[in-house]
Amino acid sequence: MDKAQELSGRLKALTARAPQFAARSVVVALSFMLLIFVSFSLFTFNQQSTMISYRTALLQSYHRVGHLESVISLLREAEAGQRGYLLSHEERYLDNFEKATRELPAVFEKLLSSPQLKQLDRSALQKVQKLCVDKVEELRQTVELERSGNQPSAHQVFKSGVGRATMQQISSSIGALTAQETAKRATLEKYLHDFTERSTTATVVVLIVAALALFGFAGIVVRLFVANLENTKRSLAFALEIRDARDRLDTVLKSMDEGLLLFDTSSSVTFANQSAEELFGRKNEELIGKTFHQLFAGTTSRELIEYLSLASVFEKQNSLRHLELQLVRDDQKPLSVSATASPLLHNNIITGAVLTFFDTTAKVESEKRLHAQFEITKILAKQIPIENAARKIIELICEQFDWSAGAAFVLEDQKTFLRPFAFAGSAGTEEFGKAISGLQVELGQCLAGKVWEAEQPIWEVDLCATENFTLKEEGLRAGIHAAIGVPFFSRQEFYGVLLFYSQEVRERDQSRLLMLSAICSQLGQYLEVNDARQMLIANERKFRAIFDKQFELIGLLSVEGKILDANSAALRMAGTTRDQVEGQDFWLGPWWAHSEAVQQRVKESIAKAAQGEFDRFETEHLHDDQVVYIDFSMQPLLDDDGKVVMLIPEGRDITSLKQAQEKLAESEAMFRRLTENVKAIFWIANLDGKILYLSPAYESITAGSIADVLANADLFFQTVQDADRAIVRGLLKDQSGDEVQFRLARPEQDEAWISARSFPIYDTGGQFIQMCGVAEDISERKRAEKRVSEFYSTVSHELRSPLTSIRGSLGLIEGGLVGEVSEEASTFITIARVESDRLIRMINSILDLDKIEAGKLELKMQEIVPEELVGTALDNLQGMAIEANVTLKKGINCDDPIRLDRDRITQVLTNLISNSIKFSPKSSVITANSERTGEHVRFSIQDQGAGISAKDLPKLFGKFKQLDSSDSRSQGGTGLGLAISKALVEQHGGTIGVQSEPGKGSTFWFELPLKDAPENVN
Amino acid sequence: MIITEDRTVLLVEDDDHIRLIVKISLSKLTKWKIIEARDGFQCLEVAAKIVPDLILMDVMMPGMDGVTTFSSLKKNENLKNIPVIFMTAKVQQEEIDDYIKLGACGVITKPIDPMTLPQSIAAIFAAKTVVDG
Repeated sequence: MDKAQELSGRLKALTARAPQFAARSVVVALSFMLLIFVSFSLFTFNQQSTMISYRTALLQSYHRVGHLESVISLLREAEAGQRGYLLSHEERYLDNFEKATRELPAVFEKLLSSPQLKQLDRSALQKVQKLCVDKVEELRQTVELERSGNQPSAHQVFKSGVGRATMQQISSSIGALTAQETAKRATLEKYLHDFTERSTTATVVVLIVAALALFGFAGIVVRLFVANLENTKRSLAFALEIRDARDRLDTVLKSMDEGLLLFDTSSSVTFANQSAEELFGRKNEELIGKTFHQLFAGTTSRELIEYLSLASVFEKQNSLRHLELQLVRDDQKPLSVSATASPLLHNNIITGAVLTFFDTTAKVESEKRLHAQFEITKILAKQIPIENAARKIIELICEQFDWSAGAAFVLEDQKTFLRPFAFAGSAGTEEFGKAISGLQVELGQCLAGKVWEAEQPIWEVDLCATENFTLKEEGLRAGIHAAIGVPFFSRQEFYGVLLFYSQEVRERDQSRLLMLSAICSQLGQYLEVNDARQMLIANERKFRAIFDKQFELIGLLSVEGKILDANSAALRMAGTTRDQVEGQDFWLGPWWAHSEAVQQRVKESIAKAAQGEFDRFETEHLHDDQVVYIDFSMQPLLDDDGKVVMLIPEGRDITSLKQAQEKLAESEAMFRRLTENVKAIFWIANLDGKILYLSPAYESITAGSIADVLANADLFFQTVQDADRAIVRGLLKDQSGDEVQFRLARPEQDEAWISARSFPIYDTGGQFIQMCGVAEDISERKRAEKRVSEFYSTVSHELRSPLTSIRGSLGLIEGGLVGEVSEEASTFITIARVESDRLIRMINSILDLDKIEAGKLELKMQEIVPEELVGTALDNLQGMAIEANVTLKKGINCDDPIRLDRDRITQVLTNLISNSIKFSPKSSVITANSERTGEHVRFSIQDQGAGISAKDLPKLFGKFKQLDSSDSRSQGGTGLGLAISKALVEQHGGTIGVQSEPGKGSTFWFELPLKDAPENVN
Repeated sequence: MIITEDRTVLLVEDDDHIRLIVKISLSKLTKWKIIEARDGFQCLEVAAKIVPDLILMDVMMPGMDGVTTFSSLKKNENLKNIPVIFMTAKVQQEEIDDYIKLGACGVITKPIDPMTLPQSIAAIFAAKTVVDG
């Protein structure tokens, strides 16, 4: 206001002064010009008049000289006339005379009437005049005398010379006068000349001065004009400024948060801004003209009342500031304001008062909030467990902001529900709190679940009146009504909910919501910071653990190569401690003390790394006189600007790696030697059938190309006979390691047989990754086997034929078909027949064994009850047992059917039982059992024979292994029975064995699987 | 075929000793008339003439072996129904099975027991009768 008034006054003064100033400038200019003009005129006039007077005097002097000369000439004319007349008597001369005498007085008249004729001159003239008059008289006398005829007298006079003397006198007088005039004129002319010079100079000077003055004046006028223009501009600017100031003032008044009231001296409101209207909840017209009393009857500030009576304002003319007032609005809303009252002065006269109000309701809330936040910060700073901190925070907020109870829920780890985290409440809410602590809140359930879902604060005016409030009963008993739920976040992710409960119904209050949101955000920040701190500590530990626990040597260096840190492995290797090496130059460290060359290399490496280059080399370190190979690297550590800030030396003990490499190379070489020299194919394939490696023997065996097969595995299958391809394909998947035989398709050559076995390859994690195998050319073996087989066959045939004759002959003799023989001879015939029978059995057994071992024996599997089998075997041998005086009996029986080849297993049982019979003492008992043991059936034959010593047990199942040859002969065995039994049992996928102790009998047993293994069924 | 009945048996065997032993065994212990042949050719020749009730034939013989002879018999309309029992020194079960599959009446393995040979032959016939129904 003051500014505006001041500006306005200044503008007014400026605009008023402008024309006055202009007029005054013109008058001054004109006066000045007039003065110059007058002065110049006077000066010029004066100069001219002086000059005129000089010139007049000069002119008169000339006139006078003329007159004087005309006097002389008139006298001379008169004298000439006289003389003419005298001499001629002619009258015509008298005319000149007369004329001269007549004019002479007039000339003198003129002379004497000449102005500025000095008295002295005048008397001289008069004297001349008199002389002239005398002369004329004299002349006249002569003339008259002449006329009168008195010539002698006339001539006398004439001759006397009186006239001449007079004439001379006149001439000299006039000459004197003329000279005087000439002198006078000379003086005058000199004066005139000097004056003219001076006057011209003066005029020029005056003109210059006038011109300068005129210029100066013009300058002044221009300056005045410019100044005037400036004034006008400023005036305009002032005017704009004033308008802006007014606008601003309006804007300020409109937009200011403070309410503003202007009062006149009678304490009535003369102006109220928009904020005042809003603040007091009244329209402008309701405020204008009212006194403060009328506006706020309930106002309590005595000070303000006094002030508003303006007594204070009038008396003291000072301002009252920061009056904290508790007002009550018309709508009965309490209003906290901070007021400032100031007098309105105009020319130091009080014209009213201005009162500004500032709504401090929010400020009061904010102070409370700040206080609460400060307290919360204090709580969080104590680093107590977060549950305790949360409870304390809830207590604090309840106390500060008038809530009855509060609870915190956090999202459990799986993020499937919210679990209660902390609760605090005033008396009466304990039961409610207990109920809360047992909750698991799902998304959207209860207030907490809704807040979780919305991730926004939610205000419930009356919680117990909402539908899905789980704890309605407990809530009602605790008197819970209003509630507010505010989410808090950690790392931008929902973390939990803070809930506050009030025992009264409360309408939504945005400021409270905001305040709690702010506190929750603080809590979230704390959680983040807490998490970050925990993570930092954990990371530091992890880093330290990694740094220290790793096998590699690692350190930290300054850019200059000073040791900052080194890990335990590095320190251990050098047998030093961190304290000993810290700060030391790295290249002089104990690691490289053995070699200057290495030190130099390390130093170079540091220099490189300091330039930002990564450096790596292999070096050696002497450790307990053992050379340790180190793969060493030096890496620069860069900051964000790419500047090297530290160096990281790393070393890896590669001694074992080196050794391993050497070993690997060696083993590789061995492997090569093996695969290149062993005439067998070694191969490795992927699980998808791609062959990765094939040993050189492949080419010599199959006549195929390794490169082709590596490129395309199918080419290998084409070398296999069509009928066997399925077997070979199965080989690539077969993990059993069992032998597979197949034939190659080699039309031009003999049939080639390949024996192959494949095995799975597992990685270190036990994952089945590849297949490998070995295959060899068994054609020769096959041929040998065939030859052997043929040999067996032939031999058996060739043996049988004579044996048939021998046996037949003996049979015929023994049977008495070819006549009687003596009793003694008959005994030997029988011996020969028995031995030939044994020889036949032996040949049969050899053929059997050969066949089983050659894998040519086909089992005819069928389901049999073991007990039956045992019964059949016992029945078959009953005769033999009776003969040997041994009792056979069944022990334990198994009724579970089992798949086996009846004839072959009967053969085994018969073998074992007959063995037992042979080696059992008389009157002893042999027990045959069959029993189920898990997935097997165990057959056992228990005798009471001599038993077998432990050292003999391993030999038992070999070929031709009867323990005692004498025994064998006496018992008539072939020595192949157990070997055949073993082969048969094993072909069934079973096992065979014996338990025996000398003197206590033996138990021969074999176990067969309940279910036959597929590979045993051809 | 009962040992007490009059039957004609053609015995085909290249080994003279064995042929003799078998002949004595069968002729002494049965009422059968034993006619001998030394190989396949003789067998076919004799069989065509006399058409025996049974042919007892060795497998491995020089000239024409047992199996070839058997095939020739089977191709002959007159002879194809004569039961043939093979005598073999090979005791492999597969072989025996092969001969049975081929159409042999039975197989007797060498060496033979001359005292039980007729019973063995009778037993084969008995079994065959049961099987054939």
